[in-house]
Amino acid sequence: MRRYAILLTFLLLVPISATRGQADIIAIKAGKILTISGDPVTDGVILVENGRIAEIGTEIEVPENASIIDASQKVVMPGLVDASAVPPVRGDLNEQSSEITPALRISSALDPQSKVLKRIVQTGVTTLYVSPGWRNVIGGLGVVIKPTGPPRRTQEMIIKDDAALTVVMGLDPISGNRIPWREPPTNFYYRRPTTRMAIIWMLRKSLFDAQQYATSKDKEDPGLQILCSALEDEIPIRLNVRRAINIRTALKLAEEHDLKLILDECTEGYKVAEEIAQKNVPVVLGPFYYYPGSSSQYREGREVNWNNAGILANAGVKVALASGAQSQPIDLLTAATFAVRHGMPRDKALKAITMTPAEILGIADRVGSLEKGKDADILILSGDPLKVTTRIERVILNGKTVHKTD
Amino acid sequence: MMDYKRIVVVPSLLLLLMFTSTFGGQDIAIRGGNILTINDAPIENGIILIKDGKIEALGQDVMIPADVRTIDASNKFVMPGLIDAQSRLFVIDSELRESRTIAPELNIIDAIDPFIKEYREVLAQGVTVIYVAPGSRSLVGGRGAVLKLNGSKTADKMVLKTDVAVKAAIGVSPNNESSSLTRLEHYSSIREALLETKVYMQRKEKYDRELAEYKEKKAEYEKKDGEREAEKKEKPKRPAKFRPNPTYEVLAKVIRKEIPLQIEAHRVSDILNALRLADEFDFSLILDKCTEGYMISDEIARRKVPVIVGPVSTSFVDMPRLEYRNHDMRNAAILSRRRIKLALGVSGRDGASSKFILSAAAMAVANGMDKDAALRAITLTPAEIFGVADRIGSLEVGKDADIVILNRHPLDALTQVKTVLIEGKVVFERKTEQ
Amino acid sequence: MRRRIFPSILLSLSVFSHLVVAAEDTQSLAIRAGRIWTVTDGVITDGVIIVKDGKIHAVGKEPDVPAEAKILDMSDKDVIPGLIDAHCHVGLSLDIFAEIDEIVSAVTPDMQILDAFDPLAEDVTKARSSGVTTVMLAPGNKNPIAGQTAIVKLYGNKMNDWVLKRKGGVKLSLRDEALMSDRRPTSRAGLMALLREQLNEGKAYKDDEYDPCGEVLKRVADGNVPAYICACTVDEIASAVTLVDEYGLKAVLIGAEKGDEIADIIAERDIPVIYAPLLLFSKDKDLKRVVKLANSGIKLAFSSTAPKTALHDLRTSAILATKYGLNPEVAIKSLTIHAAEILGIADRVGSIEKGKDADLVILNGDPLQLTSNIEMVIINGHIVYKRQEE
Repeated sequence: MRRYAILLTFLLLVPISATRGQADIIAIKAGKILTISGDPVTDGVILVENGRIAEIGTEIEVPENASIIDASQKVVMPGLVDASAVPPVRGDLNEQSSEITPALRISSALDPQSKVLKRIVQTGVTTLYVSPGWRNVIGGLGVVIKPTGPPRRTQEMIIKDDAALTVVMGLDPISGNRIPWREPPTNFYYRRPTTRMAIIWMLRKSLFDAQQYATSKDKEDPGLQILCSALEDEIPIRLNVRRAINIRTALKLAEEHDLKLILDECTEGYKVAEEIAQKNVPVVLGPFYYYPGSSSQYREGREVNWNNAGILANAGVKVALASGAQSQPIDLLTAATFAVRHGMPRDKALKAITMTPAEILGIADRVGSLEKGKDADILILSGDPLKVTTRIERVILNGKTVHKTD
Repeated sequence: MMDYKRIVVVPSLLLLLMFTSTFGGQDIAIRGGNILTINDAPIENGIILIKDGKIEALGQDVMIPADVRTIDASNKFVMPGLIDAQSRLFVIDSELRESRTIAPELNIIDAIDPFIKEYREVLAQGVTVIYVAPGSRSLVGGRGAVLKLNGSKTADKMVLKTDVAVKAAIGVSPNNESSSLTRLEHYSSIREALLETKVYMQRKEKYDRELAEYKEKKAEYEKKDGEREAEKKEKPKRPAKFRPNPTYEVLAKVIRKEIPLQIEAHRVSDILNALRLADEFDFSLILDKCTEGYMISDEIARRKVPVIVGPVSTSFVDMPRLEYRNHDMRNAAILSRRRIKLALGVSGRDGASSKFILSAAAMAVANGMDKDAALRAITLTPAEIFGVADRIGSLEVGKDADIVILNRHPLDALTQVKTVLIEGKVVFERKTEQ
Repeated sequence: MRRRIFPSILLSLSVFSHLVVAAEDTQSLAIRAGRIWTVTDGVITDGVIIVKDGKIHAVGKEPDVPAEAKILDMSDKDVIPGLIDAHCHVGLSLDIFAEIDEIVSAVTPDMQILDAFDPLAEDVTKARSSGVTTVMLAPGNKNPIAGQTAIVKLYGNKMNDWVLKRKGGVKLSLRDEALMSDRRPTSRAGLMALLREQLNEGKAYKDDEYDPCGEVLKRVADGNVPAYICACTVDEIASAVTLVDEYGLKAVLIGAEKGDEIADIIAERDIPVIYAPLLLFSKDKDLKRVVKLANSGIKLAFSSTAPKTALHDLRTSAILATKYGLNPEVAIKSLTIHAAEILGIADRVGSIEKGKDADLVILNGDPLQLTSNIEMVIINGHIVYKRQEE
């Protein structure tokens, strides 16, 4: 009885502490903690200090000056990691004047005042990867950010810049390019590629140029420099592919040049699941759609299979579920629920929106699970995350509550 | 039993009081300020007594009843609520972009979005009334209305007067290019419409006559039933059905001088065309914008046509427009000196621009307009032009208590609006700091 | 012998007569004024300004008045220094639509806006009644690297009198207008990549092989010449600051409409701001922004970006700012001496001080009142505008 009385008085303090902003020490009393990295913890406590997880367990001593968040009837899990998020960028996502733009950094176009960031946080995402657009064969460098803020400068948001090189094999780079058949070329859209074969050719040529550059450079070329880093596995390649034939070609190309590859979208991945698993190539699935959103998705995604995630996961492929950079994203919890409904094992689905994308993005030391020492990115849910009726009640980022529903 | 009645009577009385205080007028007094009545000389250290939302008394020796709330306006200026005669508040931009048609039947009230919050900033600068009208993209865009910024959630509760004028435009090019429809065509299209209106009016008159005749004959025919066969009278024929045309119905009102025609015209030739139309059809003309009016002020003065001048500076508008090529900031001053009835409008880039009305008046003064004329041009004169001067525009007994209290002379750049009242109710009060 | 002497006599005569004419042009003036706003040394009441040879010879309560000076009695008027519009496009086009963007190529550092300036243009003549006496002309915002600005007076007999600086600095644009659908850059990331590329090329430029663009870019990248960066939103300004940090640019922000949201970051680096015209805004929130910038210690100048807003409304910007809280002294300084300092011409203009150019504006009231009108404008000692009585 006394325990409840103390709890009640602490409860009264909760709104005060929440409005005061971040307190240095926060204790979250949780009914169920899904650590992702290990077994779930029932009736446990997470101690947060200076934005990091200091302790996590059932027998934790709560310091006196800690502000308490009572989640004893709730489920707590790590903040979600979106490996292919809606870009908080103004204007064009691609530099259209050229198809090969490896040195383009989407980080220089981030708009810290973008309303996208607020919406993303409301869906429980605490870390996201922003990629250049998919209209170029080699689009440029993506960046991992945390939606802190609103920040005044993008530097405050960036966790990892030059995180991966965006490459696209598919219809997107082709769309917009024209052939000067009966009309003379009047702008730079009259160019390669207009066929699949040209895309592969351009990729091969770029890699070849990079190899040449590595051996003998007469003039500084930042683009080729980036490609060299990619060849040396310093920068992973995020390759956007939908159709099975493109996936196969991608795997082949990766083998030829020994590239560190990650496949994006991978709509027909289920057709070549074994091959992907064999090559140990991770996959970022998404966007999820019942109906295709763009014309390229329509033409290339006709044979979408809702069991895609399940089939890939069961074949041993490392699968991350992402929102897929659509302007109307399906939130990650729904995507995971959807995947489970269609055959993905539950634990893999939860990992697919937390730990797996963190590993794919190379930031698993900081986020992706609730472990001592990691960033205090925590979600408090009204129930099981894979239940459609569950609500996200609180989002904590770097130890600070950034979103709360009433 | 008695207690029971009290339980019912007292709360319902209270409710009644509350009801009247929100919907009825207010009783309030303003004391000690420098009252700029506009219609008459200023009253120093004067008192205004307001009852039921109207000015009951004003002067230096006015008795304030004991229980009336008093606002202390000592060392302040008190003047009537300001009017922006060329406002875009509450009207979404797209609503001003009809195609180039003749559509006087359209009413701007149907395009009003009362939930636009910018009106609060405009109110805070002393503007209590605005005139909104369809834009210049149509040859005849529709009817304008006068609105009070009383914070209503529905358009009709904001409307002080509807059908104030039919708005037309001659010589305004859409997209800032010379369109295929030349300025001559603008003039002749409007003229044609008015000519057709006259024909319509004749046809309608004829129909009304014939209908009346038919009814008479029919009554007679039915009366003399027995004699019908004997006299072999024919059954009277009903005149062919006359379909009323909404466009011509409204234009007929213009021709009958029931509604003025407000023509936006910039260049001398366009203004002259507007004057010619007024000469030919004898309607009540209001000239809007009148950018090059200063070049032909005599012509305008001679016909005693009222003018709404604006923008006072081209900086108020969205982008340099061809029509403002010969814009001159002295326009208002020159026209005003010819005793032309002149109102000023902001004519700004959006609804919130109405807040600059005092600055616009000050700029007009800088360029030669008389101070009193400038203040009148943003209060009483627009009220007169729009036919609402019985209610607003000056501080006079019997008019609505729409009042603005400022801490400095209204034309002083650093003046701040301290209080705004609409019909005696305080609708804005500046917080102590700022 | 005779043949050679005659032409030389003729030549010297013509030169002499030219000098005589020139001397008559610059008449000495003694302006008695009710209030002289020196800007750098307070307001002198009932003082006199002596103008000689186009310069301010003396200013004070009772200076010595030269015998030949023409006396102008402005004893009930206010005199301020000629106003400086720190960024506009007057005299640059045939029509009110300025031809200020050479957008075929995104990078045109070698273009000099002065080449497009027509001192006899109608809008320049009209501009003389505005009280603005010095302007910085600049290319538009549609090129990431748009060209070189110029600083001119709005009056002059000879070209040298007009031009204060043929090459003021280089205009850069981080605005959305610089993104095109059919020319590089099409995206913001591409814009930043382009700017970095060009600045790197500038840094690497060696003058053994002359390249006009490279030469200019080098001066910008090395911080020897000002970079006038047009940036409006927070992310644009932040990107500008990033470039300043990376390259050590000698930057001045143009526009900076939302700069108040990161004012501390701008102030930290002492980046001055040439603020956008206030009549572009209508919301109170936006009208107050410039005040926050000023209160953060950032040096401000005002601009009209004429013809976007009228040159005559340069003073209106300052007055509106005071209405929303700007210190009136800062307002006057931003129109005059601060603008001069930002543009590097403070040795010539920006205040009423001995030795500076005689650029004076006489008003019939407080310069910070909208109701005050300009009675007379003097540039380089010449009366270029006098208000006619109606």
